[in-house]
Amino acid sequence: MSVIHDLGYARYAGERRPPSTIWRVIMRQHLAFAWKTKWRLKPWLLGAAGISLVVGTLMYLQKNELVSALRSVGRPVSWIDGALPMSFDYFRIPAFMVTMTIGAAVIARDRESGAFTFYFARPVRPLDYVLGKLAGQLVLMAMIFLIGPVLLTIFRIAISESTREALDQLILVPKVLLVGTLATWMYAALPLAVSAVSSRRTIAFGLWAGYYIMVAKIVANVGALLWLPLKAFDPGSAVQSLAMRIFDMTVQGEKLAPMWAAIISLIVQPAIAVAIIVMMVKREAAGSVGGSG
Amino acid sequence: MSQGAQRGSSGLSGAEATLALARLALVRAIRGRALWITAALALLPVIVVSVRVGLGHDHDDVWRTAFELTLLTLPIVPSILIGPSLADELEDKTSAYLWSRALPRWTIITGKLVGLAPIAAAILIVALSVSWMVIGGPAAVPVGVAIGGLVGVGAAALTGSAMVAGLSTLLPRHAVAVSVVWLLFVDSSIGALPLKLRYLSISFGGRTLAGFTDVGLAAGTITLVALAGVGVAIAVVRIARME
Repeated sequence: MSVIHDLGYARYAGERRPPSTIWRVIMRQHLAFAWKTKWRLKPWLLGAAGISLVVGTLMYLQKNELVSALRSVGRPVSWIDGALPMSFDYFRIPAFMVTMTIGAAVIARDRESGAFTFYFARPVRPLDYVLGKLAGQLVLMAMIFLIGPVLLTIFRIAISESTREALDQLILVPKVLLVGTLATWMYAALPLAVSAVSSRRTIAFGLWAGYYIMVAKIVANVGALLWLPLKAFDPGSAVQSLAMRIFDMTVQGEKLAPMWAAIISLIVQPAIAVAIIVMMVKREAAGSVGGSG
Repeated sequence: MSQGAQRGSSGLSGAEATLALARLALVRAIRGRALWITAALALLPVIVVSVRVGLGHDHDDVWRTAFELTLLTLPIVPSILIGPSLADELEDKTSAYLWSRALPRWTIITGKLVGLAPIAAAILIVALSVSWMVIGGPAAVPVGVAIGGLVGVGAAALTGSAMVAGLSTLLPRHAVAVSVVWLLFVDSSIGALPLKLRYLSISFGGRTLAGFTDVGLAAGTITLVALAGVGVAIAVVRIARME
């Protein structure tokens, strides 16, 4: 004789969170998603760790050797001083990898899989969604642009030969934090915006690669020819220019964008990107189940 | 082997199936947005070329710049055109429908490549041709030099397409990302090395055919043919082993 189970409605008996914490749930889900497989995040984190290790080793072993490509106030620069600003040029590579495996696909994947319907059928506001995804992406980028450079800065201070030198080097901390934070902001927000305007994941990857490799580079090329501040339009050039300028260094045979242009680019482009993300997600929410549109 | 076995139960031979799939890939590409996005991106170097011509830069320098900037689209154009076309099929398991038609599995690879790789090559060739015309055409850059450049970017695009096909079957979930990263960082870095290792680079092969390296045309041709062969071989072996 079969048993009939009552599968009818049962009140939710779990924990109830205030709406203001929903973005944290989305952020945690984003981080868990990034960590889940072998190829999304782990190799690039290892790459960033490798860069930190190599740069730190060079700082220590070659500290009095000169870096042929760098100058500071017209004078050659030794590895112990030049390695830190130069390292941002290398950290850009794993950062771009993370944008290609995670950042550029995040929102497009949710659209493609129809996840927005489930998000906005629950009491999740578009702003919670944007804040959660953006915060998750900021954490991922900070792992590359902040942890490595800050550890290198601490190492640089630690290998000072005197207390006075160590105290003098403390000024490096806010400089590295500024460059790392702005780079994190740039590399987190821009790919998310490209993802928000794309209907499919593969299109989003293509668009982001096209923007990063071609559009930004072409504008930077034109800037180098006509008006140098325009060079800061390229995310990579903006980070490199800011890192070099803030450390009073120049790269031989390369024109850097002015510091003000780099800072403006690193603040304004991501701000516009966030506005685009909010607009696109609000449009999705309005068209989803329970939306008013 | 009987003719029936060669043709399979669908009644199509390998060549016929390849052409049918190529036509399908082409129609999808023309109807989709990826083709137009890549074409627009490939034409961007013309802006830099125009500015440099306007500033009166040396024609040889501008031609070299045009070639290098057009080659910069190599990680993007084949990756966007061929990567999703193959990867979506494998990821969404729609390839299973093709297999149920008893088509030889390798025709999925050859079909996509026959349909899309020439498009990728044509995009780069047209983009460089426009740059050539902006520089001043035959009066500024001799026809022989220009043809070398056009062959260089075209052949690099064909080889890049084959490599993308191979990478897409290896990691279908990250096909576009892996292809872009391979061609942008790995291939171009290897190609810039002053070592024999550069013979393993598509960008080096393209530059050699364009006459921008100190190596003979034969070496560039062999490099590109060998790399294309490796890409197609990986793709064919992988797709044959898929469930």
